[in-house]
Amino acid sequence: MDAAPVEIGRFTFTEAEITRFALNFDPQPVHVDAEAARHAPFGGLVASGWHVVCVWMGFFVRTQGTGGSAPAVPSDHPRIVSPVGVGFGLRALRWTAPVHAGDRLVFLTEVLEARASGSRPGWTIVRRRNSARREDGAEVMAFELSHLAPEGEPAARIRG
Amino acid sequence: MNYFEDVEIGLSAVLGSHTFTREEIIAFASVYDPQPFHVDEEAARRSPFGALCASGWHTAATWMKCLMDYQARTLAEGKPVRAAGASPGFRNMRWLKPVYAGDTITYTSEVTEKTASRSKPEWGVVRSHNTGTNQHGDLVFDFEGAVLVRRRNV
Repeated sequence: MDAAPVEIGRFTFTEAEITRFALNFDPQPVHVDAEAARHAPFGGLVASGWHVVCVWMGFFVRTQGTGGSAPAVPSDHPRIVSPVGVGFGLRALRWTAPVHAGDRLVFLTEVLEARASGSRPGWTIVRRRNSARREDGAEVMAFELSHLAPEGEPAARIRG
Repeated sequence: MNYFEDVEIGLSAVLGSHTFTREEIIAFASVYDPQPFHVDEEAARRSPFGALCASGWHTAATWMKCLMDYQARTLAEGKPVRAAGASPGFRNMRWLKPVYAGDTITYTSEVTEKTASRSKPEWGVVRSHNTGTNQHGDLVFDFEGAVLVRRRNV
């Protein structure tokens, strides 16, 4: 079992990125209107919390899910149909600090627990702590996620 | 404006509905969740879901969009909207059933709890139970949300 969080990517939340996401999903002035945001409590444009968690997911899928590289594996094998795993849901997510335009975040994941699924052969139930922090170390988001993963994959992948 | 003191526990609202098209499922997932069953129809057919379905984060972010649209409509009708600030986070988000291409999800929000903030006297925390239900009446998604709402006269 991994003892420490593993970095899965870094991303700079530019004004353009913040605004583009927020216009689609979270069009509050503090996310889409730089002038209005200057007079708001955060003192400038900040990223939607949904944006931060979506960027985490993008990195997670790209770093964990390499897909069907093993030729002996049948096409309906869990490793092929869902290399990352299937989401169950999550217990608690906290947005602990604003993400300002220009902030560069480090995205992390850590396996807390992994056990074979009793009801679904070939799958493992994985519980993770996932987070994002600024490069100065301040954590801005954290959540725990439980999901089904192809057997044996998650621990092996994040050690590599 | 509706302040923390005005928020009634049990108050619920249908925020709106959204139909998830194949194109937008793929566009969202290509950036934020490029798993085969969200971006590739053929792979999705072989997956546990059996067909292309939306990322759970797409379903969740669309709840937020429906809430924003609901508030904009409320304002346009000349009714007061909540003096809301940031969200500290949420609890117990569940993706209970797949949201397939073509599904229409109707989103709701119901106030469940409110607590004055000790550390920030000008704010209170309002908690809500939020849901998404498909056109067959199946609950597909829910979570316990939280948002800061301004106190009156503080």
